[in-house]
Amino acid sequence: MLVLIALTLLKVVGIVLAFVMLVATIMTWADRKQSALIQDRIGPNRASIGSVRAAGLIHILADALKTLFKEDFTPRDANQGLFRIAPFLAFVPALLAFAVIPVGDTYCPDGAFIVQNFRDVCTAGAQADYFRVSNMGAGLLCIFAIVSLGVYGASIGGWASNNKFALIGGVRVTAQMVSYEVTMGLTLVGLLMIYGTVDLNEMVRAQGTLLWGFVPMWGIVTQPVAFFLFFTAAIAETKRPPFDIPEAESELAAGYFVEYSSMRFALFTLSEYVASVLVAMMVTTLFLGGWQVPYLYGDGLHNPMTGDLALSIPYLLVKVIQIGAFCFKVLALCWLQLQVRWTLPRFRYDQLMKLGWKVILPLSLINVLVTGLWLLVAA
Amino acid sequence: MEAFFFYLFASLAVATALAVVFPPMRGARAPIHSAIALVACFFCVAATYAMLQAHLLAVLQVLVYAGAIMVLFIFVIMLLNLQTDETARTEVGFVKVLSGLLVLATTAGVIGFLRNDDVLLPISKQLVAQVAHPETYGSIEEIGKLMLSEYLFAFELTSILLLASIVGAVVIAKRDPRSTFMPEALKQQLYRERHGKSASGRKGGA
Repeated sequence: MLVLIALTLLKVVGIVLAFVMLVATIMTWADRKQSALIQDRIGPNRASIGSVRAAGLIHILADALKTLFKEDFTPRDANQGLFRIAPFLAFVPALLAFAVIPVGDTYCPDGAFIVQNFRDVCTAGAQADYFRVSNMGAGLLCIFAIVSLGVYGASIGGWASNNKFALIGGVRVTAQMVSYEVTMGLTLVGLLMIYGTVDLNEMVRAQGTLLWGFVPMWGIVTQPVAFFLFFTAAIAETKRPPFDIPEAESELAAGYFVEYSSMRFALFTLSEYVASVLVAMMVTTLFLGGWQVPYLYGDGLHNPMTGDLALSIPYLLVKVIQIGAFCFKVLALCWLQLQVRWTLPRFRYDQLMKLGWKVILPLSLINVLVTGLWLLVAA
Repeated sequence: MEAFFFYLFASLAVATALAVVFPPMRGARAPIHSAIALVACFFCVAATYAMLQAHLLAVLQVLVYAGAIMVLFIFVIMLLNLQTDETARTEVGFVKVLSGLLVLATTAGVIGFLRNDDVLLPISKQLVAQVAHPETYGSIEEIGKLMLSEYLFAFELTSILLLASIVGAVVIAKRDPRSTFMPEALKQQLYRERHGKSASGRKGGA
């Protein structure tokens, strides 16, 4: 029991604190540097420790210190209790969802396994889940359940501020997230039909299968349309531009968190970055093969043509390479989101709703239909 | 350990359910407090489901009720301009007495139902199945198979019910004042909106 708790805590620290929070805070810096590059500016470079400026990275520390020491202001007519609790309601679900994402494959004790049907099957003892916090079976549904709770923080924060801009922001947040959640769920039905599981690690393992002998069966190969629809809807769920109508600076000042200051404000902004990392991880896990490296299995690289072992690699090193591949894919998708964020202008509210309900939703339904027909013909 | 968590979540569920009916705050802000207490209540119920090995049910409880339906409740409460006189109605009317009696009758029915051997036998069989197959019990595959075989009729009936409510929602959302499907109160509200008499100013946090 104690070992289990200690192991879980270690996994939480390793995955959520060391990786997710680190990437999220570095994204705040990368966001500003990226915009500076695009707009031909230099970007943040003033904060320094001694003479070390580290390309503006010190700004992360400076920002954290600054927000901590700002006055934590609550408007007089705000709903005190809900106003104070709302940032946490936004931040906690954003972090919770990482519990079921597999960063690496299950570990076989003593490295005893055989590669069978494109996956490592343990021969001695049960496989251990060292690289994800919880191994509950309904992992994909669990993520959706948690993500769907993220809307409370923003909408209640907007309502409790007793400010018209904030209220409009809160209402917009609710409408937007409810609309795009439907699409997010429907785009994944195709994936569920093809891989036949909601266990995320099983889904990643299934993506290591080779199609026609040499194409890895990643989600983006089997469900290309769903990939684009899901990525779009997921970016909309993060409330970041071009889908940032809940905060729309030019219309609503800062939208639902206009009354917030200090660390509560920082929690709202940080939860958007954490949501971006979550989107990157979900897209990686579902569509880009998660920790899979093409043709790399537990014992080493395989020749896709013959299926023979081409290059033998120690088991532990394979694990390290796979986790590294996962991190690389996540970082690449984070960068892609920054690129989208600084390239596309903001949607208008009616455009956003039209895109969600009249374009993406019907397309995802058609995708389900086509996938079903294809499976029927193939079977 | 398990008993401790069961009593913890069960008592929390009862406490939050009471907070739904008797929100800690009166006036225009009461509805949103009720709604949030209801969300908390759903969580406690989901936790008890999870302890009964019904993980899928627990996840769906959070996903559907806490994550979708209650979000829309809060959305509507935020949009509606609730006045204090509408929310402070506390007089005991016919409907309240009737609903109270119905709740009592249902509770008595459930207790009587659980004492029946015809009911207890399948439940004990379920428990045996749960102990025998802890890894598949309550899994998506098992529930899916049951839904599409043994309970197919009820399953399809539910989908007809949902379809009817979707059609109803579309009819109301069309908002055509000439439509005969529209309730009288909504017609009057639309009339007021179209002829410039907006609703009275917002008060409080609404």
